[in-house]
Amino acid sequence: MSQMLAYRGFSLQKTANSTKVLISLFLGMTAVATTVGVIMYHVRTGLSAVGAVEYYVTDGEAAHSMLELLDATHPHLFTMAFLVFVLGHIFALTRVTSKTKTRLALMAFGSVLLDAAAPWIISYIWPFFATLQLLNTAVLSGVILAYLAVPMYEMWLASPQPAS
Amino acid sequence: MLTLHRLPAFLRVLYVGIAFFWVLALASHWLRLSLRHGARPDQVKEWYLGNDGDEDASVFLFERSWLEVCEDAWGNLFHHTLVLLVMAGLLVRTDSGTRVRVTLAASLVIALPATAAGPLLVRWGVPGAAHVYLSGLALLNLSAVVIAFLVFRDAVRRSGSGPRGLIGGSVIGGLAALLLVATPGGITAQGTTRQLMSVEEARQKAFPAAVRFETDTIRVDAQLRSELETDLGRSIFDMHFRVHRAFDDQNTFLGYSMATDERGKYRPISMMVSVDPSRAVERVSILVYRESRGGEVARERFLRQYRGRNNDDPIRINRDVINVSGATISVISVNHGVKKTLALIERIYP
Repeated sequence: MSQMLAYRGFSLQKTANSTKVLISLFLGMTAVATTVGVIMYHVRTGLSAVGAVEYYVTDGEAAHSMLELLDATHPHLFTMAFLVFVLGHIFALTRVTSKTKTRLALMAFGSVLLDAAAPWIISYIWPFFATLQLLNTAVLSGVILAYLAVPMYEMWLASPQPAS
Repeated sequence: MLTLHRLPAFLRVLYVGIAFFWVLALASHWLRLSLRHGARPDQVKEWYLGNDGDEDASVFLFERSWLEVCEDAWGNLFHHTLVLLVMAGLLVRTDSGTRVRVTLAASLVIALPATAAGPLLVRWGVPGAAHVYLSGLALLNLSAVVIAFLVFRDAVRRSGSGPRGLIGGSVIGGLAALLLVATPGGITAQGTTRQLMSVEEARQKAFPAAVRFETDTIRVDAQLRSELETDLGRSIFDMHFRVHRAFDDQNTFLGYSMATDERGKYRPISMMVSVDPSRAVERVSILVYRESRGGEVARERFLRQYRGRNNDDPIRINRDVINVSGATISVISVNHGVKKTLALIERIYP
């Protein structure tokens, strides 16, 4: 995909319709998957800090064993990082400035790291971290939303780029 | 060829990020393996083949089903193939020498089939398979760490800017991502419903001498719900219970049987708990098991632990009941079902 970056003046808007459709379907499915992820988190914690603490801590002790937490953390580290990696590549093809692309990539990976660490921190170190985790979930959702919305906008809605 | 340090910053962030996270993911794989069954070859072998002959075992291990083994093999094959494609794509953009690249690439290529076929070979009982499996995992981890180090060295420590580059590996990675999304079943294990026994079979098995059963339907009103929740220290969601009372041909009362559902990891587990007239557990049977993993709780070797337990027993996992490794949530569910039945019998038939 980043081969496209080699072409000066490249824009998502100018790509073939078949490529646009392929990327759009991928982004659409990612949007659905992200929504399902948020719903799952809602079912477990009610999307509240109190709910998250209740889910991870019972009677002052961790409600889940280390193995259970690892069963969630391991695929999370793998798939979330890969998702950011692929979405970041698609976002890299947009007209957004390089500085914004760098900042969003840093935010996304930082957020994934906190997201993976949160169950451990809440369970074993500091339950209050649940409040920050909620904030972090909002940040991660925001970055993913930008990763999904900006390419879609540029492919289908943005006005044509002036010829350079 | 353009190397990492000449690429735009946002791409370098993406490459360092994926390398860092996948090293963490591989390390967590190793840790998970260690916690699940230990990282020694004999422990891996025991995990897949079971420890049926070992009566002193502190944890029950049952021979893994082929479905479970295939899930492990499939998971390794899929994820490690992605690791190979993306990590190799990053490797060719580093400044490392040809010999280093060839060595690392060869390590990944060797490790991939070893980790994918490992679970299958161990389950088949192939001699030395556990050693090959663990060596493959170690090689994969080590190679990923070295590649991540090279990526970090070239993308972060060496500053520089240049023309936009071409990252071949990420093209394949993108295609693999589409495959990932297109096969959601691959990420989350699918449930497999197994009807193991009917209510009639289970109650007859608990009380072989029974010739007649009388069924009481007990509606859970607010008072009963409150009492049971106080007894159990948790919420219950049942609307009613059906208790079968068993009698022999002399019309002697033999005991109670109750079928109930308890939530497993994803789906309910249906079980029948039978209790003798002194209110001690006579027998526990799993009627329907719907999860893809943890079905070992239906085995007699595990369930016979409940025999003789009464309402005063705390029935705690790893203390009163030996856990089934890899099926902790299912064991907790069975504990809940047994305790609920004992509490109900105590309340309804004082």
